[in-house]
Amino acid sequence: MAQDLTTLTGQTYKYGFVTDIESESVAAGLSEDVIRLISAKKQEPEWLLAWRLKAYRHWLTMTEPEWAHVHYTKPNYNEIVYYSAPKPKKPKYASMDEVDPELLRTFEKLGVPIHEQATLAGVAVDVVFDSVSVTTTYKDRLAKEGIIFCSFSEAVQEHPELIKKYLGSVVPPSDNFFAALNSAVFTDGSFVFIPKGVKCPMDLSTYFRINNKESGQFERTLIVAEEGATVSYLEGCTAPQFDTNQLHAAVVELIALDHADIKYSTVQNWYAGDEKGVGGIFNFVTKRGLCKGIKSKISWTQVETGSAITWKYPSCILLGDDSVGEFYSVALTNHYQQADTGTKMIHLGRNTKSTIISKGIAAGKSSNAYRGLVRVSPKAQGARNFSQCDSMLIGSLSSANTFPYLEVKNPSAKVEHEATTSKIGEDQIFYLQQRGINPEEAISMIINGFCKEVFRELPMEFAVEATKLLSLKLENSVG
Amino acid sequence: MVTSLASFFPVALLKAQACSPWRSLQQQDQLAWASMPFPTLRDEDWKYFDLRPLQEAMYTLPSSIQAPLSSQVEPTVLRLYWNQGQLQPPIIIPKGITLRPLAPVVRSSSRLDQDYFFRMNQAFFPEAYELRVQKNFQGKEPIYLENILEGSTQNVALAFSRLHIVVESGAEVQIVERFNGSGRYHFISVVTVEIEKEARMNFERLHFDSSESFHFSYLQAKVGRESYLGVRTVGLGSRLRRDIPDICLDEAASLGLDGLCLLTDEQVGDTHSFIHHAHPRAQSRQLHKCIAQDHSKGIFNGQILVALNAQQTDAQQQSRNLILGDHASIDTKPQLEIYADDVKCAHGATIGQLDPDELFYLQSRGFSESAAKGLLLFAFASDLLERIQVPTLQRVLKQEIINRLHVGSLGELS
Repeated sequence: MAQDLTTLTGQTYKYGFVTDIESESVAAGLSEDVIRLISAKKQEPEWLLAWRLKAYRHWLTMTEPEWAHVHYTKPNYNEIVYYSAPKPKKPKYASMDEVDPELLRTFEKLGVPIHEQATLAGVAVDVVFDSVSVTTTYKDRLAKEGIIFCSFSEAVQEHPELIKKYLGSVVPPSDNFFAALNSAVFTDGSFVFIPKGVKCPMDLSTYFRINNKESGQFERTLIVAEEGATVSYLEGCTAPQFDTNQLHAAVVELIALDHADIKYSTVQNWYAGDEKGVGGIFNFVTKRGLCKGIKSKISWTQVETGSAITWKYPSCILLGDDSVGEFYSVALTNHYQQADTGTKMIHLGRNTKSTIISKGIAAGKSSNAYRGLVRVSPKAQGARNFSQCDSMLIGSLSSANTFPYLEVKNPSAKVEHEATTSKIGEDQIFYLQQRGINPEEAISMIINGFCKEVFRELPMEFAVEATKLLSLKLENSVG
Repeated sequence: MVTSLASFFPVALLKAQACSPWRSLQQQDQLAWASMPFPTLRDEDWKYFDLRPLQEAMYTLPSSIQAPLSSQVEPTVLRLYWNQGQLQPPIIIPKGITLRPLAPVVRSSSRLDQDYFFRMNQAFFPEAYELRVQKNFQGKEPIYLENILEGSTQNVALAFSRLHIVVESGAEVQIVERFNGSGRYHFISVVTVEIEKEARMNFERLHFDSSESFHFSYLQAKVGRESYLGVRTVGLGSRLRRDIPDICLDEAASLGLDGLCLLTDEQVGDTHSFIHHAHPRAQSRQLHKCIAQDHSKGIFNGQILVALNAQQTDAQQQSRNLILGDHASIDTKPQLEIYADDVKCAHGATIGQLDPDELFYLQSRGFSESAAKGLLLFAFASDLLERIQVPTLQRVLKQEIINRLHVGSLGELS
């Protein structure tokens, strides 16, 4: 039994392959010239270049944050390739058939449905490969509803007024070290705009893939839901297996106007490094949603299983009266992975509500921390928060930490936080074994039960994937 | 802006009054302390605690006062008085207890060495004593440690006290530490406790400081194998108060760490606790309650660290807060750091108000609104007061709480 618990070993990372494709990249290093080059390659308007340069100059004055409960060698920002793109055979693809078949095969291998006719799922996908968006599906159908769903570069060209209005309005370039870096060098990402009163007829999805060994990925996602609009957005990510650490510093901004509803789901499966802790992605991401309008709602759901280091706090600024923020998270770490993740709920409007459900699972020699902030400002009359953070430890060399910050400045607020840490009970496994379930399955069942509250928030396909992913990741680490 | 330390602390006077047997050790601490930057809101440990009132104060040393006559009538085995931070040597010391100056020895380094005010106490305490409870001593009545500080109306009198308590194996003792004061002063008190194996100590700490005072009180304890430490801290006074219990548990030790903080006006009440489960099978229970009225601010920062080999740790922490004043605020930060897998750890924190249903129920039974509120607040506090192990003290405290809850007449209660 004890042996069962310890002999299960890590499943290899099945997305670890490299696509052999001709790519075009700029030399490693960061300077104003590199930024100018990226901007020129993307044929950006002058104001955006100025915006990037301002962010870069601010970034130079900042120091890399050290407060997170993670340990790593800081990346050398001058050894990173800031722009890498698969070399297109033509400047622009007229249809899917013109896309490099090698590239299509990559995404087929990853299980991403980019062939519209071949997919039954009915999910529109924007596919980002290294620094650029490769293709976006179902654009025409979405356009009929007035929905804009395209790559960020395309949006800059075609909807500059929207980008200018909303870019940096939730995460200003000076927000933090990684957001400033991203603002200076971001290369692509997705843009979603749901006009007034429109309920997006299908889930929208972006799939991010890092392929180049030296490159970092700095994408930017911006989602705007106008009055009464609703949208569900999914994000997935993988990277090949390299023994170097690659940096992923993304920024996601969500804006919900009156009565709008945005649901943002992530299954993060970047390469996590091998069982000795070599390689893997540094995932330093700034995600923030602004509930700007009354009765607006933003819901974050994340399943974090990959990355060598995760530093990520999807947050909600509850500005509109009666707005709602939600955060559901499962963070799994194994081997030498380190995660410091959580959320911030900033209550500014009246009768705002927030819910935080966080489940951390730490196996191997990994470390898993929940860090969260609930702040009720003096004017947030009637604010309400409930947080629950549970951790599960598998193996005596893993660690779990909880750092909740509760700051209340209004006497009508109700804030509750609870956290527990435990391990899988031998009696629970024994019970399941008695019923003819092998220990590995038993553990998988227990873990799934532990995460159920979060999984049920995920869209169907993601929930199935997440469940599978979790059991794969834990294979051979539990006994 | 880096604030120069010497500008508002009377460093020269402090150096002059430092403890002579400790001179060389204290000189080292003075150097270390002088190199520490004065904490600001940017420091994680002082994030919620604004120290600017210290910088604005005019510091001086306390003037000596007459030892007050003992007016206390509670039964006791021993009562010790510190006036202005100085011990008044007692006439009789009962069998089984010794009191003597603390021999100057280099302390093993601890995390509190990084604490600005702990280091300051270490560098400048004018005297240090050791209170030793001998092997198998059984105290039926408590030992009282009475601290009296008289500040002035203008300047802030800066005082330090230092006491080391040893509870030898098999002993059982009850200690009451009480702070009373008037006027403006800043008291930095340090009590270090060493409990050997299979011993028990109950420690009641009552802070009745003056409403203009600053009081930073440190309790550093090591609880030995299969020993027990129970601490109840009731904070009622002080303009700025910070309580810093720092407790390390040996194998199968157990700890009860409770705190009640009642805040009014502009008071700031901060509890900064650290519980270190360093060895297996130890148990800790922490309950902290805070009522913040008016413009006051309640802070709780409770860290529990479970070391790698501390298997079968059982740790529970609760922070319960009532925020009642329109301008009151509560900042709470429970913290669990766990490096062992076979553990049961939980923490909870709530911030809220009195339940309107409960208020309505009482009002429907004929209580006035203010009496109903008073009753509920008293009930909230009583939960903690009832854990106090000295009955006479419990009665005094309950009365004190009733007086301080100024939420209308509580006559209906009696």
